[in-house]
Amino acid sequence: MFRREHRTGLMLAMPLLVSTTILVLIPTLVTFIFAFTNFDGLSQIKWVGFSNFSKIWGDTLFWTSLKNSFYIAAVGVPLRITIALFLALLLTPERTGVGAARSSAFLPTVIPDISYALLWLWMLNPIYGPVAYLISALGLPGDQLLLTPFGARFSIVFMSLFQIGEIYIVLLAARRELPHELYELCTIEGTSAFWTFKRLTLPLLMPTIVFLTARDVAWSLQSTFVPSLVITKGGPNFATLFLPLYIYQNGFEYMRLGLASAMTTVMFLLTGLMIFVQVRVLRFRKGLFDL
Amino acid sequence: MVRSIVFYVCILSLMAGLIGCGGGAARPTVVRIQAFGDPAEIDAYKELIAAFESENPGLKVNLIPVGKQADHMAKLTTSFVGGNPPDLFLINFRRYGQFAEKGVLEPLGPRIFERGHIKEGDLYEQPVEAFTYNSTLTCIPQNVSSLVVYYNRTLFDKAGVPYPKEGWQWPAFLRAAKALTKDTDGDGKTDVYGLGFDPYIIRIAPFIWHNKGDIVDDVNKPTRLTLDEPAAVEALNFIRSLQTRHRVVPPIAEAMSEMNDAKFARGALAMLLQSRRYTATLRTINDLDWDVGPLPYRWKKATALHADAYCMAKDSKSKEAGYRFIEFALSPVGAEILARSGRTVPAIKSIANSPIFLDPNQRPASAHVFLDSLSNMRRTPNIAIWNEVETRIDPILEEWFYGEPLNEAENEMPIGPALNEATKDLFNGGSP
Repeated sequence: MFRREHRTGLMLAMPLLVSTTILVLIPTLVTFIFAFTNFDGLSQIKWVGFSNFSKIWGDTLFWTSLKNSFYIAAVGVPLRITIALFLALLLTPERTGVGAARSSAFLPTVIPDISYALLWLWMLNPIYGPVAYLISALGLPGDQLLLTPFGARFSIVFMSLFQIGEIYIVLLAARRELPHELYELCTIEGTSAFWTFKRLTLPLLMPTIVFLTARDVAWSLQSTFVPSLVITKGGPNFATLFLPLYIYQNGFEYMRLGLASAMTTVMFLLTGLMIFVQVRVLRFRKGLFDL
Repeated sequence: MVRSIVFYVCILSLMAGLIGCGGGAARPTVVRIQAFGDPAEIDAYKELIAAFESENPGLKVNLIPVGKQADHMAKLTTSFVGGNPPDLFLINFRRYGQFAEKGVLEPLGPRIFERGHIKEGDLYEQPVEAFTYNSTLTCIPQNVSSLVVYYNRTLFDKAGVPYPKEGWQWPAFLRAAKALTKDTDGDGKTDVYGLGFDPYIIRIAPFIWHNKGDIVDDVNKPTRLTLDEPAAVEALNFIRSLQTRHRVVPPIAEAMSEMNDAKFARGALAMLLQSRRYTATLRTINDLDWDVGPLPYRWKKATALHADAYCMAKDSKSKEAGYRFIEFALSPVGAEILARSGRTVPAIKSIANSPIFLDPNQRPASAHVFLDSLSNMRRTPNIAIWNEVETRIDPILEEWFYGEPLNEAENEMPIGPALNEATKDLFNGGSP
């Protein structure tokens, strides 16, 4: 019986397993191999050892793009997780109109990246954009949004705050799975909402939050590609030159696919390291939250 | 029984259909051409292709239009790497080097010239020199554009400023730009700027040449930028002062909100430095009175070459058809179609000097300015890494151009060393 179920499960998972192998695992392996070559897609491939990695070490633009990518992840991920958690808790109780609110919170996530970026390109326009207009109306320099390094990075983070549908929907589902009895007990005991959140909801949701944070770090490092390509073009003065854009330029504009593969490998390893550290830290924090 | 009959009828019909297909006309040879341009330019290429196909019934041309220069390069690169490049593509001389270096281009010069329809002497020597790689003409020049001053005649007339003319110099240029910069509605904000200037090396280079400076130590084999040398620094300061001191160009917020091309087209710029390709767009705007004039100079006249050429992928399966398309495009019939759109200054001398290009009924009225500029034309390098050099230094130049105003006492902006630092690894090793 188990075997039969196992086989059925495997059959159902097969399309995903096959496509993941072809579209993710094999290209990842090939990228690792190319990282040690001078591959440009046109000339004879030569094994160059760690030469690409030593080039990266001395490449100031690589370090700039890495720093920018970390900056976006460091600022964006906590904000995105916090907002998604807030929305998930806010929209958990069944009230009138909650269905529409849940859909609205998810909607920006399903907009294709290029359309989303083009929309923001107009909204952030220094003179004609509504966002710049609103900020200027508050007495702040709205026309500087895309024109200063801080403004441009802030804009990239800001537009990413609306694409939290996947995080929010997972948190909403996780919250709805929490046992009602515990909350009823809290109500009987007369605990405050903050105490319930801190001592009950947060610890129980922590495994989900750890997983989502790790996922969002990886997402943040990659998702900057379209906005930086379409909206800021890496500027001003390389302030929004993120790793994916720099890798794209090297690989697809300058035909240095070997070097671009080495950069991708470094990004892959750093992402893995960041996720590992996060998971360790958050697991430790979870211990503090435990009842 | 009925089912069997239906089945056999279907089989027979299918076979008849297949036989019918087999006995039909042969499939046409397809040439794929990738070109970059705005809608007006792409329409001109479509018209050229339609004319070619009607003259060559067995040939079909598939145009792959690309809207942005950077996307054009990325698409070309990926198609070459993927083993499926277009048969032909149009590219600027500043960007073809990276493909020529990899040996993926068919050396078109010898192939086209041996066919006899076009001779090397028919073409202007400036673009021929620019597209010559390792002593072989690699791509066939389509045009020989240059940087000129587009100006709005209505605004010049209203301000009583004389039109740009041959021999005008930097002081007159600055005076004109100042006189043309106006707050027309009295709200304290400038509505019309005297000049639109994109602060990139291809626009800045002529001003450095005007001042007897240079942008690299050797245009054919550059080993470094020379924008830190005194003549270049002086020219750079002049350029920057247009924005910081004289305020005759739009500030950064306005420049980023609306491209200079669009600003000029709606009459908010009196002058704009652009190449010939902008003419195609301007011809679609009927209520704008505009013309072109030469660049102003200081000590030495100079303008920058902006030539594009047809390049062919070495692995193209439609080479013969590609040769025929190039010959058609450069012939009087093909050149007239592109010239009518305004897109090109034809690379074929006889056509450029004929009414096809110098048609007095077409704008700009002073089309001869593009031909007069030929004697002062200089070019930026065409080496493999030049595209990347521009990609690296242009954001730095843009930041510098829109930076804080200069202190009156300060006469030098140390941008040269920053540009050298940003590019030294490229010149040293060809890659970072």
